[in-house]
Amino acid sequence: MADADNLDNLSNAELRARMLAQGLPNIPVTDSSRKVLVKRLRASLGGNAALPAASPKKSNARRETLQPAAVAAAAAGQVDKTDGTQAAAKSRRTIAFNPSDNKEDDRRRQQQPVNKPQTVPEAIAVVKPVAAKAAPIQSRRISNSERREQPTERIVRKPEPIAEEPTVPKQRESEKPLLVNSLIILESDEEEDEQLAQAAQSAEDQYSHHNKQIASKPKPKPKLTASTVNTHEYVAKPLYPSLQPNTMEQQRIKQVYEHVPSPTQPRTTLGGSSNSYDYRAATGRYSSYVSSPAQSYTSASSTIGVSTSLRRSPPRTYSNEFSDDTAEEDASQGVKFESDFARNLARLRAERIGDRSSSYRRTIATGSIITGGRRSLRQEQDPSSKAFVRLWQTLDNKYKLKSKLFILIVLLVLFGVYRFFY
Amino acid sequence: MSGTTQKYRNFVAEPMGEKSVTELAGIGETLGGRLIEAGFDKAYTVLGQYLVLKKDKELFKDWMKDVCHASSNQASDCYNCLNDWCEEFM
Repeated sequence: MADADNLDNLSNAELRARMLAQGLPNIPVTDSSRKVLVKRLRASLGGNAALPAASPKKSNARRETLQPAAVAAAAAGQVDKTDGTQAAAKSRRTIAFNPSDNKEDDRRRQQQPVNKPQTVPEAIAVVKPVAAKAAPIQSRRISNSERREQPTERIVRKPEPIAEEPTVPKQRESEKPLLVNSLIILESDEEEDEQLAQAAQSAEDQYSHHNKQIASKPKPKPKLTASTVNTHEYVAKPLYPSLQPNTMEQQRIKQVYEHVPSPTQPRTTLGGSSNSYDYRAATGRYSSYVSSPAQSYTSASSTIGVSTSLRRSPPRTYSNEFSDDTAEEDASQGVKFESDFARNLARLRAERIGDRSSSYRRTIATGSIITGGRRSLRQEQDPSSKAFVRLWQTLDNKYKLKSKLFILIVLLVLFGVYRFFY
Repeated sequence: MSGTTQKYRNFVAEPMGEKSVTELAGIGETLGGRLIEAGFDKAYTVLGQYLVLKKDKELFKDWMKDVCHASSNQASDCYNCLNDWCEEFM
């Protein structure tokens, strides 16, 4: 108390000298700051630990000395004891003063057994205790000092990805099926292409064989291209002159019909088209409208044979318009193996769906097929439709678009009904 | 330093000039009256005390508690306000 009285009676200069002698910061003593500084000096004289908050230098020094000691203690614990939990707990006890740290210790003890099974590899398990010890020390440092230990905190975070490594392959596994599926899709495409190509080749072989048998009378192949050209010429020509070659080709068709042997049944459908052809021949304008597809069709049939054009065209248009892979495969296989029923069915479907312009396209497609442009045709039309179908399928699988679209449509309908009535 | 108040932002946004001591963050009418009684009527006088104490947070807070019986939060707000103003304008 004598010191205190002396301090109150000291002048500002003396007080400042005492503060410097005590190791306190050199702060000018004024009337306004005197009280605070005396308080600080009194605290430092009475006991260093009395008011630790009032002396910033002390607190800084304590932090600086505490951290290396903690690191040293932790390092000693690591070297001496293989058991990570006990060593970490002891090192923490030497550092920790707050009662809350005991709770933290308990939490860490609970967490460590949980973390240990995750580090299955032994090499990682050797590294793990170091990190496990470093972590609590880090947390202690963070609680004491404000920002200093951030770089070491990053080091502590390293073991976490090691522990999480087993979880990473799970994510990759979830990604793998997509890759595998895409590969499967690609392979299936190639297989489809190969199958279609084989089917087309076999069908062409069959038809060429057929043609060799049948085509004692029919014209040679170079007329195929000429026939397609003729169709365009017919469109350009006036009406009346077009009638004469029509009649000529009618006779041709009838001849071909007479000469074509029985195995190709679809004559009935062809007969239907030829009926329209006759009707067209009777009425000038209508004939000019239809003549271009029909004539190309008939001319192709006249050159190579009715059966070829009939066999090739229906599945092709069917597949092109629906872009259904399985149907295409079935149709191509049907062309190869099955009876005329499949051909008739496919052709009827194609005619039902397609209008006259589509039939026109179909005839051109047959021409291109006969001349060997099948691949080019597929490259033009199929990839886009197939890609669209694939995209739709993948999107549907991912997001279940069908159900959502259905719900959306239902909602729209309900909204429309609501709007209609209210 | 957690969320800042509008008073803090107003003070730190511009030079303090002749602002009253009550415009400092953490100092209302009550504390402002006590500070004015103690002779610290302008914000720059408090800033002067802050500078005399060499920007020491603990000393400044002790001084605030001693002069105007500020709470720890109020003293801390005032210190942060002056400290950030100094970082901005000094």
